[in-house]
Amino acid sequence: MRMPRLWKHPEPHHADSLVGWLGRRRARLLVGALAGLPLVGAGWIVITGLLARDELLASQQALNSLRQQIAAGPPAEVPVGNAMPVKRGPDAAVRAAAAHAARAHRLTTGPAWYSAAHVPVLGGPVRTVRGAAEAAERLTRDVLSPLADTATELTTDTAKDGGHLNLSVLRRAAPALGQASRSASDVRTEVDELPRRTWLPAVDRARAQLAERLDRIVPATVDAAAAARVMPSMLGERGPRRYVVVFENTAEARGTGGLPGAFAVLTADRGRLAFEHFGNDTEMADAVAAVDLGDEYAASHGHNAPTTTWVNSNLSPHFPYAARIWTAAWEDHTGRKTDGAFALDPSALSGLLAASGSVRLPDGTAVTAANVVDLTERSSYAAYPDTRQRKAFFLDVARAVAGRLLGVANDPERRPALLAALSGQLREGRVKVWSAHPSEQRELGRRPYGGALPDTSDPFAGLVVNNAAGTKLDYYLDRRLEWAPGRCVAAGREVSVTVDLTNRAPASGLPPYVTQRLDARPYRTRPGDNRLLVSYYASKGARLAEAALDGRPILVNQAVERGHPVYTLDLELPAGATRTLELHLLESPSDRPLSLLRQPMVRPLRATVRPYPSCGN
Amino acid sequence: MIKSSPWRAVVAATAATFVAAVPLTNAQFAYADAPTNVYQPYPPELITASVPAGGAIYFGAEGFEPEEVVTASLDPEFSTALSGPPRSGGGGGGGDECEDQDATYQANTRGTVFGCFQVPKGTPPGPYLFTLTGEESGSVSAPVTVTARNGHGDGHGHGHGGGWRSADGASLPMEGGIEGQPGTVKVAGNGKTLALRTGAAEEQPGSIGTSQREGLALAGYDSTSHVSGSTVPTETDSGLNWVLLGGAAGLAAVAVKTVTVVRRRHARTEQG
Repeated sequence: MRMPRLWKHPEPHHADSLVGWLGRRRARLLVGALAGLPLVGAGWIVITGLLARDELLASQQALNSLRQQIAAGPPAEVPVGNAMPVKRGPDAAVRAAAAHAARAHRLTTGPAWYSAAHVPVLGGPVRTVRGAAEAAERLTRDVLSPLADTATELTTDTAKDGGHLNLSVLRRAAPALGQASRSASDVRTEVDELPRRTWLPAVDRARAQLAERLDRIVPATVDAAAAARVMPSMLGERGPRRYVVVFENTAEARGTGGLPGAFAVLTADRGRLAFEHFGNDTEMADAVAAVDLGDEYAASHGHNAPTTTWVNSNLSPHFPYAARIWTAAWEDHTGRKTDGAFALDPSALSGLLAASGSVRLPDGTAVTAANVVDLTERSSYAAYPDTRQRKAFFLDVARAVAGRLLGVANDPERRPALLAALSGQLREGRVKVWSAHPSEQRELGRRPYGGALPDTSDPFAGLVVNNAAGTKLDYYLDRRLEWAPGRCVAAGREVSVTVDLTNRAPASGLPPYVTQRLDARPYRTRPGDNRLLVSYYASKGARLAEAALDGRPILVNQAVERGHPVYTLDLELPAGATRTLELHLLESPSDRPLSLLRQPMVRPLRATVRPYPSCGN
Repeated sequence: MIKSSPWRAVVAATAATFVAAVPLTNAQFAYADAPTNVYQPYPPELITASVPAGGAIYFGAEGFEPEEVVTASLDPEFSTALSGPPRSGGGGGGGDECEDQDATYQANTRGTVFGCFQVPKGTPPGPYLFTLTGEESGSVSAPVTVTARNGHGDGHGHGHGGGWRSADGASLPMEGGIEGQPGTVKVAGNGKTLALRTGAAEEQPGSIGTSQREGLALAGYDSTSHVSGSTVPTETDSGLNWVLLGGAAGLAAVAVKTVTVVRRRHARTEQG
């Protein structure tokens, strides 16, 4: 730009024009500045936005490597107790992630970001990026850091009398973990309030991914906080504890999962765990559980003698019922009181073995994450035609796996991977817990691993099957559930539930013990045909309008359990057949998300929940 | 023609053995595949009402037209099991007795009907369907197992039956306090619900593992329906029981008649 040569034109007649020129120039500059400022601001936002993106990716990468490190655990061939290769601890990884997230947050603050975020329409993506960076910082600082600190402390500061959990560390961590879970919920709420749909799809996708991660993190932090509150006392901080641990055989379905076959008694004393007894259902054949579960329970299940017939003790999906029967039966059998009960199935063992590593049985058979389900629920029936030998084999598996898991639980280096796997199984409800101590049970009962039917009136759908044939054919059972809300009418919302059950058992080649029928039936069956009591647990207050089986109207048995209407059908399910149950219900209108009961079985439930708009009230 | 006493003994023993073998045969069918000496209790079953012959069924149902005339009936669940439906009325043998033994009822203005149905005392034990049929709106059914007279269920039903009727239709059966009561069986569908109670379904310690049970009703699975996958129940165990029992009784009658005829002839011969 050419500047005016003022010193060569001092004449007075030029002064006015000079002033005018300067005024115009200033105005031009002002206009230019005003016009350029948004451009400069936009440029600033783009540059700092890209830098913030890099910081957030770096933060994410640090957390991903930490997750992989925890999941992998130490190499399996390293003997227990040996020195492990030095690795960066979880606290260091989380701190690195927190530092990156903090830088990202700083980069997205300031007048330019503040102003841009408040521009209508155009400011949507800016607001989302700003909010996401702040959420990432809070997540790493207020949520993950306390979790990592606790994990590090639990790993390094083990009990003086062995490598088991240091309960005092866990108890001290409880308040911080509680605060972390509250912070996680707050962050989730804030992310929910960010714009979901802007003119920049990439930003929308990033927000959705963050929300999805938070959906996994929030319950995990809630579980961790709850664990810190109840685990010290449950693991015997104030005195020895004793628990019944039941291994459910999901090849024969029961309400909580599968038939209670093998079981063990677990003791916990100041964090030190040990199994003191292993047994199977035959041992409990004569046990009588002196427990009164109320008239409602008796009306639904009493005719099947659940308190005197061990294998019918868990017909209801409400796990506390089964746990109370098991603990009372054990007391009747041995005269010893227990403090609670756990239940898990071979699929849960598979998940835990993936973290702990495989184990060998006395006969040399390898039990791995990949084969434990097939080994215990299918191939063992062919390998051991003698029932006694097979039940002994189940106990061998239970003993070996339990020993392996305890060994890893007492190894501080390998424990985080096992706890992470256990946490996953708990959240899926494949491992269930009940405490006979009311203060602990109040905490457990609200969690997925408490296995309790919900007390709320929120929409609920629960498909529950009980094997009514005495077969082991539920290994081959496919379940599909569709929950589809319909019209809103004066009396509520119409809901259609469609259940498809398919028996995929082969037509031949199965061992007799798998296909044998113990039920009384007034019709002939073929090997491989199965019979189920199919129950649908509906939302509280629901009413059945119509029911149909394979397109034909039917009547179904109706009961109530813990406020939920229960519709049950006695269903013959031939080998290779699919049968379809349709229920048309009238439920209270609600905008709350549907709560789905997933009965843990061999094959996962395939559930579809159709979206439901508000009924307008 | 049988003449000698050894032959008489053989025929009588054969008849007796045949008769005695019937329940044993059925038991063998039930346990044909089950390994012995292993804890294998009965699998769970759907709750069904159980009432002794001559007893009473107390019911409440909704979904009928207002003031509709409703007829109650008790029909064998499997047509091969019995020769014909029992008549209502004629109770007094099984414990409870309905005040009004007519099997016709009238729904109230809300389409709800309450009542007491007398199971005829001569009703053979077995699986039945208790059905309420409205003149206009159709029917609703629930499975009921009729046991031998003086079976369990005696003396449990009066209070419940009276209680339902005292509600006078003001509250529906499912809302009137019987929900969740042991012994109550309730079915729903087709726009109707039916709750019935005979007072016989308390938990029996060890009953599942030890008792011999009746053939069971399958909701949604009738004896003539075709099931996906081509498994069709063509014949019932209870039907087979009756055929075998009839055959045994016939054989026994022939044997007794033969023995009688032979004895008379022998007596005449001796007299002669």
